[in-house]
Amino acid sequence: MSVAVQCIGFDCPNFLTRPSSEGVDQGSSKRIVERIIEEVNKLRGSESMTFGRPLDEILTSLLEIYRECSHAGWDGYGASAVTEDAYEEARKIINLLPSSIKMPEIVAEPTGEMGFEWRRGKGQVFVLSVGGKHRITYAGIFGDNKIHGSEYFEETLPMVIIQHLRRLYS
Amino acid sequence: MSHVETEEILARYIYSKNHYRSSDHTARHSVFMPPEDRRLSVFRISGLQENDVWSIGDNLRSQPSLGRADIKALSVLEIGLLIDADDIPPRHANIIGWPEEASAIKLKAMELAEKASLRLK
Repeated sequence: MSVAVQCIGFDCPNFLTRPSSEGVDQGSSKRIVERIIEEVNKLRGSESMTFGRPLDEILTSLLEIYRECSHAGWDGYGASAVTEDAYEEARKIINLLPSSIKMPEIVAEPTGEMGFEWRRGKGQVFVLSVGGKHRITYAGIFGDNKIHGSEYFEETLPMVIIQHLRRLYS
Repeated sequence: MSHVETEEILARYIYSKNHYRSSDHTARHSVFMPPEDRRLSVFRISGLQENDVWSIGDNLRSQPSLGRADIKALSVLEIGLLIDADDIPPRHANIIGWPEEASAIKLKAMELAEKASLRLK
C-alpha cells in the first residue's frame, strides 16, 4: 500500500524533502515513523468525517432504520418491507457522497425503498430513494421551483443529483 | 361520495417515528406516500373535539398513533390531487389522483408534507 501525503494546507514534514541517500539514526527513524502514522491518521480522519455528521453515525442510523422497517406493515398502513438490497444500495450512496455535501437524514419509504432527505428549511428540500435496482428516484422543492426524475446508478453518483444538492445549499 | 369543504382539515395518522422530524416537529414526505392502490387514507376531523380526533387514530390499528399530520383539503386540491370521501368508516376519505411516475408521486408527497402541520401526542 502506498500513501500520498499532500502538503497543501500544512507544512511538509522534513523527511519528505530530505535526500533519500542521507542516513538517519534510530531516534530520527522512530520520529519519522511516528510522524507518518500521525499524518496518515489525519488523512483517514478527514475521509471518515463528512459535512455535518460523522460517517459512522449515518451508517448506524441507516442500519437502525433498516432493522425497524424490514418487515411489511412497519408504518401501520401496509408498507412494503425495506429490502436488504435497498439497504446495501443506500450504504453505497452514502459512501459516494462528496464530503462537501451535508449528510442527509435517513427515511424509510412505504414502497420498501431507503430514502435520503436534505432539508434546508421550509420549502427547501431534496429527497432521493433507492430500492436495490440501480435506480435513483428523486424530487426536490426549491422554493417555487419543483423538480423530479430518476437516474440509472452503478458505481458513481449521477452528476444531476450532485447539482441539485449544490443548488439546495447554494 | 360526500362533498368535502375546502377549509376542512384532514388528518393522516402516524404510527412510525420514521414519518416525522423530531428536530423541528415537522412531517416527512414518507407519511404522505400512497400505497400501491394509490389511495392515501385520511380522516376528516373538522368539528371534532381533540380527544375524539386522537381516539380515531388509536382505534384504527393494533398500536396507538404517535401523532398525526393535519392538512387542509384546499392544500390537497391546490397541488392537483383529489379527495374521495367514502365515509367507510364515517369521516374516512382517501387522497386520490396520484400521478403514475414514482418521482412525481414523491414530489406530491413532499408538497403535502410541506403544507401539513404535525401534531404529536
